[in-house]
Amino acid sequence: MEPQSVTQGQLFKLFALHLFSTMIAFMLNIMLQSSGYNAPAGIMSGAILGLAFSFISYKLAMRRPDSFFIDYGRHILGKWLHYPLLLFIALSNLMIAIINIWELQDVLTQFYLVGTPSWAIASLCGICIAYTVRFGVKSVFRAAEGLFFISLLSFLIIPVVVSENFEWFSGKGMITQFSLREMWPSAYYTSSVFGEMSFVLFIFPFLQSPAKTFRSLTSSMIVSSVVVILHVVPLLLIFGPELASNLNFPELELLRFMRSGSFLETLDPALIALWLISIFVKLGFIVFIISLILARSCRLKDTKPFVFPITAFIAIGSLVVVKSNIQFKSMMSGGMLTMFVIAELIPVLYYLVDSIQIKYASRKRASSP
Amino acid sequence: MRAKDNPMPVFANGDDGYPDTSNLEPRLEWFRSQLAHCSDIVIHPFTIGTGTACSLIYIRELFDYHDAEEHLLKPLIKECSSWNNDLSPLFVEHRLPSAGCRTLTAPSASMDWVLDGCGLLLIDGDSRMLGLSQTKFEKRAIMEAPNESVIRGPREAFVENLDTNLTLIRRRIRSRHLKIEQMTFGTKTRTSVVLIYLDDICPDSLVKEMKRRLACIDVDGVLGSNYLEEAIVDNPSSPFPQIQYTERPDTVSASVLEGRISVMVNNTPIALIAPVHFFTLLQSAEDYYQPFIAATWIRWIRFVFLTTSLLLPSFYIAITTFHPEMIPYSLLISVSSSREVVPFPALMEALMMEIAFEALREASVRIPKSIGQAVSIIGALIIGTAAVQAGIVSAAMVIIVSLTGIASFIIPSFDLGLSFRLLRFPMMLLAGIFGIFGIACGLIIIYVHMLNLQSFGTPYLSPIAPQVAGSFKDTLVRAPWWKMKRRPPTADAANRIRQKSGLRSWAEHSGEGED
Amino acid sequence: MSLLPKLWKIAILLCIPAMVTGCWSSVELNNRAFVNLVIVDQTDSGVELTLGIPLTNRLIPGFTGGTGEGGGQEPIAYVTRTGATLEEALQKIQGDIPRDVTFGQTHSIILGSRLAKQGIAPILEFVERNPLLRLNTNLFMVEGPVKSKVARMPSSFERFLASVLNGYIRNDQILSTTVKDMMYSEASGGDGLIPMLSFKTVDPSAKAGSPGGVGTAGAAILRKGKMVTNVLSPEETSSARLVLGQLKRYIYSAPSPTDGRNVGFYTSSLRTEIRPFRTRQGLGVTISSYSDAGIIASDSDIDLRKQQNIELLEKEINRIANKSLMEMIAKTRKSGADVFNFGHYLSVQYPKEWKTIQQDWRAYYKDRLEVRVDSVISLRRLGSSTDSFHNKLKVDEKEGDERTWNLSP
Repeated sequence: MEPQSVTQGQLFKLFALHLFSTMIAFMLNIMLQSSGYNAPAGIMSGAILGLAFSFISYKLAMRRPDSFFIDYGRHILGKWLHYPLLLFIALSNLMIAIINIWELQDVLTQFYLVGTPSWAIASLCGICIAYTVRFGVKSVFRAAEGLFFISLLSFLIIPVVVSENFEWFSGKGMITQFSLREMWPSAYYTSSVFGEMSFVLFIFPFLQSPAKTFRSLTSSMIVSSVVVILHVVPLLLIFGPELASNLNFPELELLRFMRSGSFLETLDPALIALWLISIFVKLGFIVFIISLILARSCRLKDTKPFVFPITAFIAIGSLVVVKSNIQFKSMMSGGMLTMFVIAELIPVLYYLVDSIQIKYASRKRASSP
Repeated sequence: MRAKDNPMPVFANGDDGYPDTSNLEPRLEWFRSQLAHCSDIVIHPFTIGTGTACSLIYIRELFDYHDAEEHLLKPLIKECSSWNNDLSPLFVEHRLPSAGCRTLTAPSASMDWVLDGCGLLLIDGDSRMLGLSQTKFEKRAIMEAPNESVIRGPREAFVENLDTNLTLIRRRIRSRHLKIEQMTFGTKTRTSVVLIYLDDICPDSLVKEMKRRLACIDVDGVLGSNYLEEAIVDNPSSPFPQIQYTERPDTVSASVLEGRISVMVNNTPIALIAPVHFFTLLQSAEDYYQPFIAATWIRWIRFVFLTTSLLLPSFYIAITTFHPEMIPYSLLISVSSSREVVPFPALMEALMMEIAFEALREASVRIPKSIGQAVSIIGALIIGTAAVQAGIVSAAMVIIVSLTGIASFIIPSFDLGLSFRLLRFPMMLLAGIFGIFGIACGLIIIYVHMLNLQSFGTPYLSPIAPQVAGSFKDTLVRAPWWKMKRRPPTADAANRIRQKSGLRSWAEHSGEGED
Repeated sequence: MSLLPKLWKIAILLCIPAMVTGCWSSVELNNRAFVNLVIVDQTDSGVELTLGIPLTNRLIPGFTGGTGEGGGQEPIAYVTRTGATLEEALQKIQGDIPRDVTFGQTHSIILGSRLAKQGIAPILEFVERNPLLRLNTNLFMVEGPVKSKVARMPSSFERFLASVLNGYIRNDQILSTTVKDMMYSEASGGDGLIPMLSFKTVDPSAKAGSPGGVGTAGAAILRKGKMVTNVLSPEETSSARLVLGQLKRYIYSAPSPTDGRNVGFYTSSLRTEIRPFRTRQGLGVTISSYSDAGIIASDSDIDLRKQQNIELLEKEINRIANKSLMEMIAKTRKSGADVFNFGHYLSVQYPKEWKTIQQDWRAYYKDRLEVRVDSVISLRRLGSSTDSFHNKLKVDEKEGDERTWNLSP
């Protein structure tokens, strides 16, 4: 694995794709259900919150930009705490991946590939993701870089095309019905997604000019939150909060809402295919993080041998862990989100302990002549 | 034995039984025995001066006998009478008006000399031999490039003879930095291979890497550049070409000016150029001879048809079988009605038509010109009209297959067009099983594969991934000449400036804005 | 180095079972029956579902010169089944058709009035839940038993009745209500206006080529998904279309303020704004509609060259528009159906007050909501000529009482 092979531009593009692709594809209906008109405000605040998580991660990583967190972490918290915590992070990433693949094959089997068995879809996803990750970190980031503009364009084209159906007056509701209480659920949800940027800690040695990382993270956050809001607002303006919260896949309904009989109304499978590719890049990054954790914990230099088993585990897990839509909803509203947030906040713990240790060491040095 | 950078490689087995004497007859006997049953070898004995026997060995029609006779034998016969039987001026001082003479002592080297088409002069009483390099043989005249024709550019193309080809390059690049290094490959063919590069622009690492890869070749014959290509590319099992080939000297010159390295092989008009990336393969020489707006437009057409050649049949299959709601209603009724009588499912129909088209294409390469036109008419009739009317295929399918076929020929690089043609079939299968989702997965696999492909250290998809600022000028659009101030990143980092200031600075001075 | 890297071997291994088991969800294009029209009605024996399916095997290009020579070969089939519920009827239809019924191309649903009186909520629910039926499917209504009228009627302008309906929507000739409009907000969910289609039965002995029998008529008012007895006439429907901003090139005539003779206009609505306001008595909405108008014909002696005459005409049209708007709104209020979703605007602007009146919104709408109408119609175009024929050539009635109308081009 080559150090310093990922540019800041690639980092920005990967995280931007990572954040807005699954949010728009899968999570909008929960936002609308819980927050209604306050969804855009919730998303914005959740994004800033997530960025705050990753800021602490960044500060921790900047202290030792050339070594892997997985290696030096045990000096901070001790072996017996460090490895279980790492395992927890790996597990929560695994759950994120499983959930995403499950949601993906749920959408596909319900709408487009009605008779296809789930194992076929999951295995095809697994093959694509494994192929993306097996060439190492450069492959994942380069994939994001090449896809970024096309993906962004495909996401941005939708609000433009449906704009003739907007009821602009409804937008006022976002101001008049503002309530912090309603905003909180979607803020929490969004922060658990945007907080995934804190995993940049693990790949710090691969980055060129690491000091500029936070700038890239901030740009990713801004771009992603703008894109997501540009999707939520049309939903509110066209469907209204009450109807939109009842829809399971509001994005798809939005895509089909173009004027009847025109050519463009029929593009939704093609756009879904483009989104799929962005989702694969996100999952590729997650698999890379997990394989990095496992590989370096076992003192191996190369992540290649771990990629396949992890991907297979995720694919099979997505078939086994969640059995139905209803179970999925109950699982998500339970503690799953909190688990993700805890995993993203673990670097905070390390940062605090590290700061105390440094202060203690400098005080000791100052006191001893 | 490794081939070395040496114009006269020494082969260990050539020296068996060579008599170590300065007598003529035993040596001639050796040559005769080595070259037995070769009816085109001529051993021409004659006498010079005061009775010294000489012999000229050469291959008929390869050696320019008349020129040698005129400029060598006659003067020799005249001159040597003044040398008093001491022929050292001949060997040492080269007192004959004949360029390219060389004194040879090793028998294997002299044998190679004869087999290369040069003449060998043996003189009784001296164990040294004189090699004469007047070769003259029939070769093809420089003609127009059959596969890479342009409308507005030079028409010269390479021929089989390496020396002629090198003159074509030298005439275009008249810099002392143009280096032409020769190597020989093939134990039996001893083919000359030449590396061409500009040593102030081409990075040293590239030259070293090329030599390193070529050094491993030890094969009995090298008949075409493809033999070398498969040995030196980074990933031979990839369907994508990682080295560019061309038969136009202006393409080679332009590439060399950009800091790339070219490999030319004797007896083949195809030159190899490395490194290459994907977007270079989509450029043709014509782009640089047309005005930049037209060239940019044509490039965009190429991109569109590139995706068409890969994806159109798959899209048709995916949309008609999985996502018919995508089709506008009246089009759906027309397509559906035209498919009513077809007994095959869409995937099978598409595969059949594509394979028939491949067969037609392959056959048309080998058809003698006299019946070529008739067969193409038959092909069009059979595959087109009659099949539709018989109800075997639908009209929409015929249109799609023809469009795809035309699209694959728009790609200037034949290799790349071939690989996309090949990739079309797995995409069709994926589309038939998984619909548009399958197409997306297929695309991502192809994309990741191309991402990780390298051509002599250059990532295959640069400048899209990894992105290098400023290299967009020649990929998506063809920037006008006055904007292309720097060389692409393949060139040595120290020497990137192509032109100093604007080509159009006259416009600024005279006060006319031109943009 | 092996020629096939490990990954490819695994991939091929996985592909083989995929190919063995075949394609699971690909359905051949000709194995599908594309429903282009859904007709639902209520009969004595239950819900009657009719699906309009084009018969593509009668449309093979090159074999048939045109559709229906002599009216024999209709390219569309109407399959009707009756069941206790919508789902039962659907299952019966699918059981009888040898192809896979696909709803992906359905743009219109026609409802029978008897079903509408009972409630169309099951239909709306079906459309919302079905992943292939879009939310912008248009709704239409027909008075009386639907199936017989639709099935017997040939359409001469388009191949299918569904294309006719799509054409109406595309050209803005009919009130367009989609499923989404009916389900927009909870407070007024199920309230809306559904355009009515009129069918003229064609005499079978009439000559071929005589115009088809479908046309646009008024609109039905629905309250909570059920049709009420009040029906909007075609003129009232056009006022409703003005409120919704759907009026394009609507032609009508108004008496001139000078001499009372008719002047013909066409109007296109540019936009309509519905803005809530609050007074001490309570809440209200203002409907402001902005339209463009032009003159088609003039039988009056009004001098169209003078600006103040134009303004007089504008005032007259505005008055007529306002009057018909208020009448139409009064009709909907009498039925207690918030067909234009005023509640949504109130909820956006005054959420606190809205919360108090949300529960009995329809009663509030019926009695207490204040509605103001303000239409602004600007007369911009006079056509190709200025003076009316009547004026110019002084055609007088006294001579033989013959009048020649010559509409300016």
